[in-house]
Amino acid sequence: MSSSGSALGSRKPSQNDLIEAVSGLQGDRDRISATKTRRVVMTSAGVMKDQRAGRKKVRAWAIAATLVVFFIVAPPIWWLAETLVEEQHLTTFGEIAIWGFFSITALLGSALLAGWLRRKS
Amino acid sequence: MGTVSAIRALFTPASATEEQVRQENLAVAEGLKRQDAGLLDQLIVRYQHRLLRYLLFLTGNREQAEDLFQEVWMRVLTRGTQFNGKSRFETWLFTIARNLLIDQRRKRTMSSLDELFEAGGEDDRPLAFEVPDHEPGPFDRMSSVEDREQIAAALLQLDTLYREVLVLRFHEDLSLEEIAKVTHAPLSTVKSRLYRGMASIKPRLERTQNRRSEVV
Repeated sequence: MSSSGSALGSRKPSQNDLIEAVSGLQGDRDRISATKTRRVVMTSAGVMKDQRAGRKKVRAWAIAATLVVFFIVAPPIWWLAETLVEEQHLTTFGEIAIWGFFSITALLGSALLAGWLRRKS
Repeated sequence: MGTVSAIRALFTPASATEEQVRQENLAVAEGLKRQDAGLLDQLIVRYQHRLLRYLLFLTGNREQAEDLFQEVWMRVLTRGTQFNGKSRFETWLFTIARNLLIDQRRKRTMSSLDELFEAGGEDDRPLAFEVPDHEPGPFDRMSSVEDREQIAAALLQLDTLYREVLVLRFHEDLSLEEIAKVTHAPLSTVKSRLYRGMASIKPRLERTQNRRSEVV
């Protein structure tokens, strides 16, 4: 779109350009800029939506894991602990060390497995 | 009773419009909370010219204004939950735009727009009298393309301090209270900036008008 020469004639081209823009005479350029922005914002909105869905999935997994631990893993552990204490299997340092070794090995194994699964996903 | 119904009739359309605007703002707030991409797209289309013009007036630079335009909408996307729908959406939008510009200036030059505005010093004191809120301004009376260009040129010569208030009042049709909200300035300061801005732009416009009539 062109502007009236008498209003802009005596100014620098950059100033003329700016005056045209603020006077609403560069609607096409405004629309191009808006279209670009719309594309960027829509893409970002999509990414954010995916991230939200990812977070939701992680939360669901965390809840599921908690429930599994609470209802499936916890009862045998409880039973095991009760048996060990009641039958006095954890009285000497050697016994405690053996159980500690097994527990730490299991924890390390779980951590390694979790890391591997995470990298795989 | 007749008087009451006459008064009611007088005020109903305005309050109905107000209610509609309020509902619309609440709907926008709800949509932004949900990060509704469709709504955001509509808002960008609706405010593309107004926001870009405001940024152009503040920055005086097309590229910078376009960068900020994008940043403003990204901010609307990420911080949409902060808009509660109690005020008009455009007030919030212009506030974001202004704050982003201040941040950008601060990063680039270690000075902010506020500091630039403080240069107004004595000139920024509140006025001792009231400036009418809804008087038709000089921009309303001049509507041809050439007039618009002359107003734009005159505005661009003003201090940012006054230019911003004039643009928000007469181009964006914001109330004085809304301008105070956008600029984080007291109402009295906004009034004084508006008055002084108008006083400053008037001779410039008159000079241009005279030059034009001489040419004709």
